[in-house]
Amino acid sequence: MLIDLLREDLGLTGTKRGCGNGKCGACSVILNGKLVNSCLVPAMKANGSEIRTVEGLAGEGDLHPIQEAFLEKGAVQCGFCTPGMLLAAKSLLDETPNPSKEEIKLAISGNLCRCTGYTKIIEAIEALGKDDETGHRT
Amino acid sequence: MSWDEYIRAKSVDEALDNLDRLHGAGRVLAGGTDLILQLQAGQKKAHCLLDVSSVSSLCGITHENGRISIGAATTHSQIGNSSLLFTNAPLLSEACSQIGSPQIRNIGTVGGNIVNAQPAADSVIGLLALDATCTIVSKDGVRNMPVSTLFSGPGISAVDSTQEILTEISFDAASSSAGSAFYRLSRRKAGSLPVLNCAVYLHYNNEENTITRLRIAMGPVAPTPIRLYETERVFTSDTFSMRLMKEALNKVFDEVNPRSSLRGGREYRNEMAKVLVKRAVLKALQIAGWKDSE
Repeated sequence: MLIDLLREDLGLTGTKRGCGNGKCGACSVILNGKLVNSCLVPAMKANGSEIRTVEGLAGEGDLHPIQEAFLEKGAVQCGFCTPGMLLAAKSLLDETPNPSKEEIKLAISGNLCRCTGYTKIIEAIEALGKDDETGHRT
Repeated sequence: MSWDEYIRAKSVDEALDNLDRLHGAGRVLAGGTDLILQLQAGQKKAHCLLDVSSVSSLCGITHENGRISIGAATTHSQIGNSSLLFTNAPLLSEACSQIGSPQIRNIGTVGGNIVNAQPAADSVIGLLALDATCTIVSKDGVRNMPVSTLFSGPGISAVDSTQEILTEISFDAASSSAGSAFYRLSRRKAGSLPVLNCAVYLHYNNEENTITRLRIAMGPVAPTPIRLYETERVFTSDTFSMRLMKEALNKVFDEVNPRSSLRGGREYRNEMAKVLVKRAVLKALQIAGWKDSE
């Protein structure tokens, strides 16, 4: 599956295998601009597609503003859900630069977190929406 | 790996040619959010997967001559985000918007939801209330079937994915005097199969205070998604009133036969079936211009 191709063949282990059946969202990647569960996508289906994994967020040496916001707000504990959450956040902010709390909750509704209780994650994404200077890099 | 060959078809004809060549060893794949898991669990088998998700003729939503057509490989996200459907078939927008999670909706398709044939398939419950027709093609030709005829049992589709391809779903656009509603009861707000879902589509005559056309679809209250035909007949038998509502809700109880499962008990579902029908019918009526005067 795509998750195996990313992790094993390409060595991009930022994408995590949680449940392996499309429920937890830890394996989320952005495929042709859409957030998907890489554990459910046959690698061949992704042939010729543009895929962004969590590794594709940060620039050379710098963290992406979404990553900065997560760290600042305390939205990372064990970190296992984090790559998927970051990409869910990016996917949302690319469409809706200033999302409401309800829109944020909907956007991360396919990403489970066992540690944080979601509050700080939602705050981090909300802060990004309100911060005009931060914006978002592609 | 649960399959040996994977072909991304560029056209329906190419997919059909391959299905024919493979003599039952091929299987149509669209989004795969259900099928992949079934293949991995050995519940379904395929030597070769025929991925039709990028066949352009299978994607898209059109409105022509009062009829709406949706390509079978259109994703639930595309349906949920479609302004055309929001205007002309809002209950389908709502139904598809509540399936799974954003990740699932971005890749899962309406055709796949139909062929996966679950008793509470949300898009199907919506399509039943819209009296939709499905186009299915095979090397033997084309057939157009009411969506209600495509379910043989829980998870058992009348569409044979090793021989044929569901290409399109179509239905009449809602009339301006129509009202509709979709309600879904589930244990979580997302990523959770429905305890019950219910779709209502109706026409209401304001002057006579009568429901002149009504379709109520519900799941999972039977082995397949169903219409509540007898309940519909009660609602359309007389002028609308809360007395009529009560009579109709008693009929709901007769028509539904839910199981107990880990998502909810039979008794609870029997009660909530009535609640959902009441809420959905009242909401649809309000949209259609009914005003509560009792």
